[in-house]
Amino acid sequence: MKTGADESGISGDLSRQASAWLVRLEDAPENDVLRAQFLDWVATSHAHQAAWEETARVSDLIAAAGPLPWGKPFLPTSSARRGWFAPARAFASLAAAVCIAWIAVPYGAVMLRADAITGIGELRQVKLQDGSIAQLAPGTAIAFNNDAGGRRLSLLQGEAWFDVAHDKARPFKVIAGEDTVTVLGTAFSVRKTDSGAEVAVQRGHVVVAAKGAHSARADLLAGESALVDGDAVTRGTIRPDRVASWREGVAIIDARPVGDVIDRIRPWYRGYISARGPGLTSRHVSGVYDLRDPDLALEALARAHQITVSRVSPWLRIVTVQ
Amino acid sequence: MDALQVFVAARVELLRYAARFTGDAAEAEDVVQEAWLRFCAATSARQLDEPTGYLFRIVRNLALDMHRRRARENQLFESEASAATAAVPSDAPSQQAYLEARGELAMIHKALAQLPVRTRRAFEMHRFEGRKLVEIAAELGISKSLAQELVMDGVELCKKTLRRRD
Repeated sequence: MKTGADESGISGDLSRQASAWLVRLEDAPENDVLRAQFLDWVATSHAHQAAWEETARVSDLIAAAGPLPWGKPFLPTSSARRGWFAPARAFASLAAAVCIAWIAVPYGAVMLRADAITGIGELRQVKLQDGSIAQLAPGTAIAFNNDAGGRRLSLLQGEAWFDVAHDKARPFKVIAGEDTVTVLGTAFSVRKTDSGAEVAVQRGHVVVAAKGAHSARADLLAGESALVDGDAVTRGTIRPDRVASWREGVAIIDARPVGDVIDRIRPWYRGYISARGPGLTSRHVSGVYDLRDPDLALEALARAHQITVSRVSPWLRIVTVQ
Repeated sequence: MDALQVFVAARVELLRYAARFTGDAAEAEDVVQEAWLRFCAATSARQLDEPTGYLFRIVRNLALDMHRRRARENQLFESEASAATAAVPSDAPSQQAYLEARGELAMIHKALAQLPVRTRRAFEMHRFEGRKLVEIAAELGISKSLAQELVMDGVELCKKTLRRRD
């Protein structure tokens, strides 16, 4: 029975679909659209990931086994094979595929509304019309409006650091989902999360307003931070020189849930990171993680207790947190 | 990375390295495959600090051993057990890992032997020779999509053969 056909022409049961991805990705390692479609496919379910795990392992075993000599009957115990060949070139092309710069998975509707976006692992500095500077983390999309209503920057996705040009008459507002950060002239970072936003102030003074039932707000000065989750605002502190440390390619984590750390690594990794396990929200870690080398960052995480990272081909990492 | 990934990533270099000792490409192939089996056994028994370096040492020992054995055969002598044999871990878990790894490679070859000739050729061109689907299609006189299906058939048969073992 053929099932699961999609526009990429991948059909059949999951095992056969995974085999089709293996063959097609190796055949066209430079095809970014195909790779983006693969990432969507592998993210569909654990069953898809399991099918890819099996396929990647069998592909490695095939490379390890090498070709069977022609014209010789198969001998189960013989390791005798003849013929020089280009071994494991299939794997080499897979590995090469990862090294090729990859344009981010399309953000769909977000992209259409954005004035500036960044792809996987990409940092970008944008000068806004009012002279303010926005530095975008990887996987970020922003839109900016400077009109009679004032200066409004929409953080559609991701994280950005701002150095706002001083203008008393026209407050600068950052809108991240339901939450608003209002400033006059200051340097701070805002990260949009699934359920709110995270704000950290490097210099000056900002006002964070959570647009919930209680419309909670917090005044933050340099070295202060706020985590907005729905209606709740949790205040914290941060060394001003550590605000938006991703600009230097590192994540400085102080007692955050493992799942949150993985979310920070994701925009830097060109494949798909699957995170599982009960400890994702309950287990907290601290440390400095190298974002420019996501595999190294994941390894560093794994050294903490009861976290395992399995590498499945160049495109899939499975993190299990017990 | 697990042992298999370390091995596959290093394979091209290992073959080149082995060929320097054996002087013969086919023998280098045999040495490298045997090295995988021993590497597999060693990694099952303990965590290696420098797995790639260890892999190269196994290849070196096996290649030198093969060279010595060849020299002895030429003198019509066959004496003491080879030096590389001592590298085979003797404890039960690693011995079992060795046999399992050998079984897996044998099953891959068994699957390849069962493929129809055209399918096997398409599979080999793609998996071992790094050829593109369009090249395979041109050489076999078939469409690109059929070439892809044939390669997939090969991968699927390898999977099915390995699954039956479990």
